[in-house]
Amino acid sequence: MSRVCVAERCMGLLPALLVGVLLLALSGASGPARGQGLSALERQMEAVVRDSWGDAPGVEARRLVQDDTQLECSRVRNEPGDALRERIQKRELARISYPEGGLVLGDPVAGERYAKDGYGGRVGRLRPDDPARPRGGNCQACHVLEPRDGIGGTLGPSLAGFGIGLGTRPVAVRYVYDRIYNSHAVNPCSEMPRFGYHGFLTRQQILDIAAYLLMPDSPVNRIEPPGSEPAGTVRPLP
Amino acid sequence: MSKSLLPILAVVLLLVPLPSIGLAQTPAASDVADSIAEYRRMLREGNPGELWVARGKRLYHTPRGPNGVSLDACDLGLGPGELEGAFAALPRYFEDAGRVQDLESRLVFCMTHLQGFAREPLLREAFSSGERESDLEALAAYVASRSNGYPLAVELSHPRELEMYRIGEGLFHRRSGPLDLSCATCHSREQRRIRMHGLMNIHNPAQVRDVMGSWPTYRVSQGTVRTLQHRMWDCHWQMRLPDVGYGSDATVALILFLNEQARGGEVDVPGVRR
Repeated sequence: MSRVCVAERCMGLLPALLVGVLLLALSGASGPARGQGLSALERQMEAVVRDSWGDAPGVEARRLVQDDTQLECSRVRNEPGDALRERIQKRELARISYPEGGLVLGDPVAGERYAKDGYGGRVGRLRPDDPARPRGGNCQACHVLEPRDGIGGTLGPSLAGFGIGLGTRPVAVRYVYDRIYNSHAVNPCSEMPRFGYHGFLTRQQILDIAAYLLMPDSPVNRIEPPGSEPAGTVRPLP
Repeated sequence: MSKSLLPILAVVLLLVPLPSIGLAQTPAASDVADSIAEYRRMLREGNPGELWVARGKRLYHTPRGPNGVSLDACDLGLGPGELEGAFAALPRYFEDAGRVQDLESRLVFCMTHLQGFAREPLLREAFSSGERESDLEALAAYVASRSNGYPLAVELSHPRELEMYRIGEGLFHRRSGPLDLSCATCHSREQRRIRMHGLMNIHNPAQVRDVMGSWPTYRVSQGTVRTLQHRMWDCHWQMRLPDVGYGSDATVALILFLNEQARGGEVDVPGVRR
């Protein structure tokens, strides 16, 4: 309802708005990185971003520059049509790098730590994380991880019992690795971060988390006896 | 109440037991929401945020700064000295500044232009930290409290306001950073939690009204009043982005967008939040 009311008011002021937009476009507000191909509104947004984070040191400010997939998914509000889906999936699949020795499940205990640890990656003058301390993947912020996990988030699906049925077959390991390394390669415009692509987690950390998710004796896959607590959703192979 | 009582009061309040949230079993989301609502209700009966309002009132009306004047001549949109309901209609376009400003960027404008304070130290110390108090947190709490009972109603009549609204809406959905996040990642679905913390859904007007009408808010976990500018900084910091400028256009655009979604929500500040 409020959007309609904004649109109505906007109509009356359209000429003034257009002049403003035109002036901004002419004043050279277009970005150096991807000046072309951006709409007038997007160019305004980029100018505001550059100005609003003007004090950030260069290495930090680079985080604000969108890559192709971030821009495309933002534009379609994470609902790409078939053609865009295909293009993103192909591109992101090619951006996955695999370890030399192949995909071998890592250490599930270390994996559990990374899955639950939310430390790392924060920058700025006010409260930066220590870059020397290992980063966690913070999976638990968005996922319930275990059948007895009472503090996991609900932005992503529950992973309780995730490995049951999947097992530790190569196809399962590959799926989990790809999913964590670059979720857009599996589900274009996924809301999940591309942990490997951005170098947020190392390849070994991803294999450790994969072990935690898939190994049958992991707390993820230890379903309580009937009558205690309902198990989370068991996810089928894609 | 004297300043020295503040830390003691804060400690006492932190000792108020939280309604037990059993971690051993998964609590139903509604139970958690209920107990948090109950916790808030209990705290409201003695909201420590009122101390910030009282301090802000003193600061606002006392001659200060190099020019030795109070903020009584500050125009928050309804004319100099008109405080009643002013916050409920912010952000808005200000002719004298040539830009759209929210409460806090407007306060900075008045403190620099009227009182003669230097801008940089104000921005640097806008958020209290440890023992260091922030005048802006107190001033914002006071001015916002003078809109209590008023419905949130941004004007969106000036072309720059409309432009900033659209920019704010765009920024809300703009993904960036090493975690590919946007505001919408966390705030566009119903009944979602990040760990145990419930997340506002931008598409649920009742929730947006409740949130936008309750900042500045006393934050129990931080023992201080925090403002909307701090909320903007905090979200971007969690998204692994650099510090967003205090009162910057990005924050003003987002607040304008949010307040339009919250239109009609009643201002009731300072709130109390975790």
